[in-house]
Amino acid sequence: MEKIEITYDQALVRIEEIVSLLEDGNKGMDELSALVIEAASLVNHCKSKLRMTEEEISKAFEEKNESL
Amino acid sequence: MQQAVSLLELNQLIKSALDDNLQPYYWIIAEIGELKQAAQGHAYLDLVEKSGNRILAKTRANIWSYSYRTIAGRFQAVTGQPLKAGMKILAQVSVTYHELYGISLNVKDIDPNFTLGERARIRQEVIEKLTREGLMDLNKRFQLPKVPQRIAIISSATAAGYGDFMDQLAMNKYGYRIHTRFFQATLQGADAAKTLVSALNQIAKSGELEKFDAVVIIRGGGAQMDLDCFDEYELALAIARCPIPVITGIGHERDETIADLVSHTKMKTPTAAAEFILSGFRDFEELLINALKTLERNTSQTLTMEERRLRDFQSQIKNLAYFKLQQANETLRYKVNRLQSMSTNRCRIDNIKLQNIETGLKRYWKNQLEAENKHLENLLKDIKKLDPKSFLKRGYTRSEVNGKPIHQTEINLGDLMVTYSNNKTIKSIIQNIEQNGKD
Repeated sequence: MEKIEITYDQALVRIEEIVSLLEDGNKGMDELSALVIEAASLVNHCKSKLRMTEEEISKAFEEKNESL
Repeated sequence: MQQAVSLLELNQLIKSALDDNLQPYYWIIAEIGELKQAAQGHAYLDLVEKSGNRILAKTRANIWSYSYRTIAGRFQAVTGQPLKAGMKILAQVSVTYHELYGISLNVKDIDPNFTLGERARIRQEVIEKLTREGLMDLNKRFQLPKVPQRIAIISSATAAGYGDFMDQLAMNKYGYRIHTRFFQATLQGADAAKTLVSALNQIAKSGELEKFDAVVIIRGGGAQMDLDCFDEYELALAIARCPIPVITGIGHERDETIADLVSHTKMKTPTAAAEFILSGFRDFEELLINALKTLERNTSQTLTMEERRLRDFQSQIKNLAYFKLQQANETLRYKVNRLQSMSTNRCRIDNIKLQNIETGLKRYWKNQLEAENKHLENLLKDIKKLDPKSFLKRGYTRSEVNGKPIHQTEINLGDLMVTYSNNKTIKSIIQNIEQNGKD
């Protein structure tokens, strides 16, 4: 739940960080699993953020057209 | 002693001498000096001949009653006047001498035509004198006021004509008020002219004159009477010199008197004189009424004209204002149209611009989103690729010593090694360590 409140850019930084941690591969198996799950969740978060942004933008354009 | 005759004998001698030498009749011209009518109907006269005021000859005369009636009647019928003192006559007389009464003339006949002619001659002389002296039209040069309201009346209080005149003035149906003042005069007899002149002088006196607009001399009415006083030079002179107009109303049938001729205005009767004065009032009133009517008509015409002019102005102003308003309206409409078309154009252009921007933005965002999505997909792919479980699923295993992967830590014989497979965790003790080929 806490992760949802972070911004898109913060999420992206965290994902990159996890990817490089995974690439290093010097973490234990449990920790790795947890990182993968966190990264997947962050990706989903970012995707939904993008969808929301898209919807907001479309809506904004629609409103603009309506007011003309 | 001289031989003497008695008075009677002498008078008888005179009588026979006269009878022998005189003709039975003579036509003589003489003036009647005095005329008395006796109770029996006889008339006794003094016949005189004058040169100016001087008496040159004088003789007693008589007319017996039987002749007198005829002579006097005919005389009055022809001359319009009775026989009286002061008249010049042509008489047929016979000379009679009476021893006791002396000489006298018995009048057999009188030719009235002579007296008529004589009077006409005298009258003509007076007229000629007046004309010579420039008096005939002297009074006529005065202008009679249009409304002669203050009248000096010369008349006799007992004259019927005076009453007629006053009645006519008082009874006028228009209700005009005329102020009159009466001046007494005698209208017949020897003193008539003198009293008339005196009355005129009294009016003409300074201080009195300003009170009057005109003088009216009134006589007439009743029987035909003596008019000679109105032919006298002295009266004519006084009338001519009167400083205000003199109107005569001397009722008579015969020709005008000299007073009529020299007066400003002559009227035939006192009633006519009053009517004449009133007619001035009436004329003036009619003039006023006409003037009033003209004024009314002109005023109304002017009013109508001005009204029409105002109306014209009004409609002119209205039209002009309407026209200006329309013009302003049109200008405004034109400007509004221009503004509208300009702003519409501008809007259209701006709209196109905005649409372009929108399209650009949309495209930009689409690209951005796509890029981000792709980035995320790649990340996801990387994560999946790096996920140890995917190796384990494919049969690979992972071994750790002391919680660290064996390729990144020191391993020794006898260490406990934990190996993860897809579905198993295997713990083993390291018994042998051999270096693999690549290294």
